[in-house]
Amino acid sequence: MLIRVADALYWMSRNLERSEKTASLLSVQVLQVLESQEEDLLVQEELYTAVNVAASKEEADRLKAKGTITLHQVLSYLLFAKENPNSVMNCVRVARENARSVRDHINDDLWQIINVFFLDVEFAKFDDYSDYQMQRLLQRVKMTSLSAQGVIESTTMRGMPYQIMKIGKWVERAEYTQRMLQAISEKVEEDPSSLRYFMRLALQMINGSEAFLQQRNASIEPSYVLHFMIAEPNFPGSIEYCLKRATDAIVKLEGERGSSYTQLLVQEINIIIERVMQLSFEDVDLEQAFQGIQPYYTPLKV
Amino acid sequence: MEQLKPYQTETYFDEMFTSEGKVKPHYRTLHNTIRSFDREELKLKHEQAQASFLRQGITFTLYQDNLSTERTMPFDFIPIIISSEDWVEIERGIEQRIKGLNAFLEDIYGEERIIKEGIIPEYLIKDNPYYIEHLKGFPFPLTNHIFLAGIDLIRDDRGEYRVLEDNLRNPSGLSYMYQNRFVMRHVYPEFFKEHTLYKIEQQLDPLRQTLMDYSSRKKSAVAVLLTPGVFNSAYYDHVFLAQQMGIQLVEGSDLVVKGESVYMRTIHGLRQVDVIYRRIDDDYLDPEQFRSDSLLGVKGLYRAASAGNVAIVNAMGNGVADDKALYAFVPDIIRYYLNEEPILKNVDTYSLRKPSMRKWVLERLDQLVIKNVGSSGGYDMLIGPHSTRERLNLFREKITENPEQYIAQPTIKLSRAPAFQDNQFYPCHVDLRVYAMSGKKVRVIPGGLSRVALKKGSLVVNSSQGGGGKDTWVLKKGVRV
Repeated sequence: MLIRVADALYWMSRNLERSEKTASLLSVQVLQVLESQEEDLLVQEELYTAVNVAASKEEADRLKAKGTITLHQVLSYLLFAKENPNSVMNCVRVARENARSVRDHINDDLWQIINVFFLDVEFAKFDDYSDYQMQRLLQRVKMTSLSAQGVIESTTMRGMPYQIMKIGKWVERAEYTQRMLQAISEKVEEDPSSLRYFMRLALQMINGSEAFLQQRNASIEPSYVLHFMIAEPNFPGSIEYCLKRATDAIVKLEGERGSSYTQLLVQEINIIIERVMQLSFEDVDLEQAFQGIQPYYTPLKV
Repeated sequence: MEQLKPYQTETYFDEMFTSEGKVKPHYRTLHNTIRSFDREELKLKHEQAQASFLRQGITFTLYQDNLSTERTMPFDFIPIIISSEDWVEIERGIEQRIKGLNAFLEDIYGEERIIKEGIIPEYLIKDNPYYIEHLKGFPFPLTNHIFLAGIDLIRDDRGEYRVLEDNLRNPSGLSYMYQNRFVMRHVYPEFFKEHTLYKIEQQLDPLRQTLMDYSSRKKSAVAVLLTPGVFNSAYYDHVFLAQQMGIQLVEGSDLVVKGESVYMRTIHGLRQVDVIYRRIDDDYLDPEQFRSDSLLGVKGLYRAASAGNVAIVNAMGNGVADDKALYAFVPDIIRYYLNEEPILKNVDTYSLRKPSMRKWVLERLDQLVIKNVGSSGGYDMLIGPHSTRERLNLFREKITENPEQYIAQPTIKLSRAPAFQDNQFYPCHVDLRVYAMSGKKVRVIPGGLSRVALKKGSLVVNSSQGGGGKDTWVLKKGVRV
C-alpha cells in the first residue's frame, strides 16, 4: 500500500471517530444542562471540560474569560466552527476529503455513507437550529460513524486498508479517553471534593456508564472507575482495550517484511501511554491500572 | 410538450423521429414505455437519478474565478439507441482510424516517410506545439502510441456519422459512460424491457489486459494510473478506471525513479512499476525533461521510459496527431498507411494558411464554424450563424493575425434527440464519444458517451458549458425491435 494512501485512510478513520466522540460528548452535555441552569458552577465546569477535551485548553480558557459559558457557545464551537480544526464539521470534511483521495481502496457503501453525510451538513444552515434539531444532528453524527464502522466490519477485506482504518480508530479513541482523564484530573486538582461527581461524568463521556454498572463491582468508587477506564480489558472504551486492538492491527500491517511506516504509529501509541502514566488523582493509587497498559509501550528500534 | 411525441424535426436529423413524424423502428419499444409513465413519475425518477450521481460523488470539478466546485454532469434518461447495422460501421471505422493514426505516430517519430513522400507538409508536424522532437527513435512499447482513445462522432443532416475530433492524449468520460448505464439500470429498469444490448461491463477486463500488454516483465508486472490528484476535473474518471482495472491510483509524489527504473513508495518500501497509464499532460510529466516547474510529475520518468524500464501510455507526443490542424489530413493518413478508403468521413475542414482559402472563408464567416487548433472544450470558437457582429469582427482580426492557428468548418447540423429537462420534452443536439483501446489489438467499446447540449438550441455539448450525458445502447443483431 502506498504511504499516501495509508496516511489518508488513517486520518479518515481518526476523523470519523473524533466526530463521533465529540457528538457523544455533546449529547451528554445537552442532557446535563436540561436539569439545571447554565450559571450553575458545576455546569460551568462541565462545559469548560467539554471544550477542553474536544478542542483545547486554550479555547476553554478563552470562553471562560468572557464570562458565563453557554451551551450554545459550546455547541456552535464544537459542532460548526470553521476556525476549530476539531469541530464536527471540519472532522467530517477532512474525513471525506481523505476518503475521496482513496476511493479506490474503500468500498462504495463506506464512501457513500461519508459522502452523503458530508453533503447534508455542508449545505445545512445552522444559525437557526432549535435544540431539538441540534439533538437530531448529534444523533445523526453518531449513527453515521456507527454505520461506517458497521460497513467496515461487515464488508471490508481484511487487508492492509482494513488494518490501517482500525489503527486510526483505536488510536483516536485511546487518545480521547486519555485527554478526557487529563481534563478531569485538572478539575479535581482544583477542587478535590468534586472527584466522585466527575467520575460519573467521565463514565458518561466515554459512553461507559452502562458497561461499568454491569460489572460485579459497580460502586462509583474512584479507584474502580479509573481502573475501569484505563485498564479494563473487556470495555471497548478503555485505554488498554484500544491499545491492544491498535497494536494487534499494527502487527498485522507490518507483516513479516517489517515497515518503517508502522514505527511512526508505534510512536503515537507510546506518546499516549507516556501521557496516561503522568495522570494523578489525589489519594487514588493508579499503579495497577498503569501496569495494564505498560506492555504496549514499545521502545523504538533504531 | 405534455408527453413524448413526435416534433418538427426541422432540418435536423433526429435519432428517434423521422421527418414525417413517425417513430423509427429501433426506438418504438422504448417510445411506448416512456409514454406509459406520467409526468410526475418521470419527474421523480429524474430527481432520483440526479441524486444518485451526487450521492456516489460522481462529479467533475469546475474552476471559475479561482473557486472550485464539484458538479455532477446533468443526466438525461432518454437513451441514444444505435442499431446493430450502424454499429458495425462505426466499429470498423474507429478501428481503422486508430490503426492509421498509430501508424502515423510511429512514422513521424521514426522514418518520417509520410513527410518525405510529400503527403503531409513538414511544417504541420514540426511546428506543431505537441510534436516532441527528441522522441525520434524512442522505443515505444509494442510500437503502439494509443492505449485509450476517444473519438468524437456526430451525425450530419442525412444521418451519416462523421468524425468531429480525435482524442489521443487523455480522453476523459469513460466512467460516465459506465455510470450512466448503472444509474439507468437502477432508476429506469422498465426501459430495458424487450431490448437486447451489448453489455459494457464485459469490456473492463479487456481494458486491464490491454494495459498489461505494454509491460515487458510478464510475471507480476505492476501497472498504475498516474493522476494529478483530487483537484483535477476528471478525478472521478481516474478513480473509476483504477478501481475497475484493479490498479493503484498514484500521484506524482508516490513515484520515484532510481537507477532508470520507476518505483512507488509503499509502507513496505519501494515497489517497481512497469506500466503507467498517465492522466497528466506531456508538459507536466517529468520536470527533468519537460516543464521544470511541474509539481505533478515524476523526476526522471522520461529517462526510465527511454531505457525501456517502464511503459508510459498513452505515449508522449500523441498531441501532434489529434490536433485540429492535422485533422483534415487523417483521411489521407488512412489511405497512405492502410491502403484503404476511410470508413468514417471527416467533417469538411478548411485550412486558413492559403490566402485564397482564407479570403473565401473570411467572406463567409457568418456561415461557418471557426476553431482554434490548440484549444478544446468549446473555447475560442465561433459559431457564425449564432454570432454577433462584434464577435465576427473579433474572429476576422484573429484569423488575419494568426491564420495557422484557426480552421474553418461548415456549420454542421448536429443531429438531435429528445430530452426530458425541467419537466418537459424537447429536442437537443447530441454527439457521441466512442472509446477504443489498443494494445496487441484494437478493441472498440460498444456504445459510448452521448453528450447532449441541454440548453435549448445550444450546440455546445461540453460538460464544462452546460452539456449533459445520456446512456447509449447498441442493439444486438438479429433481435426483434
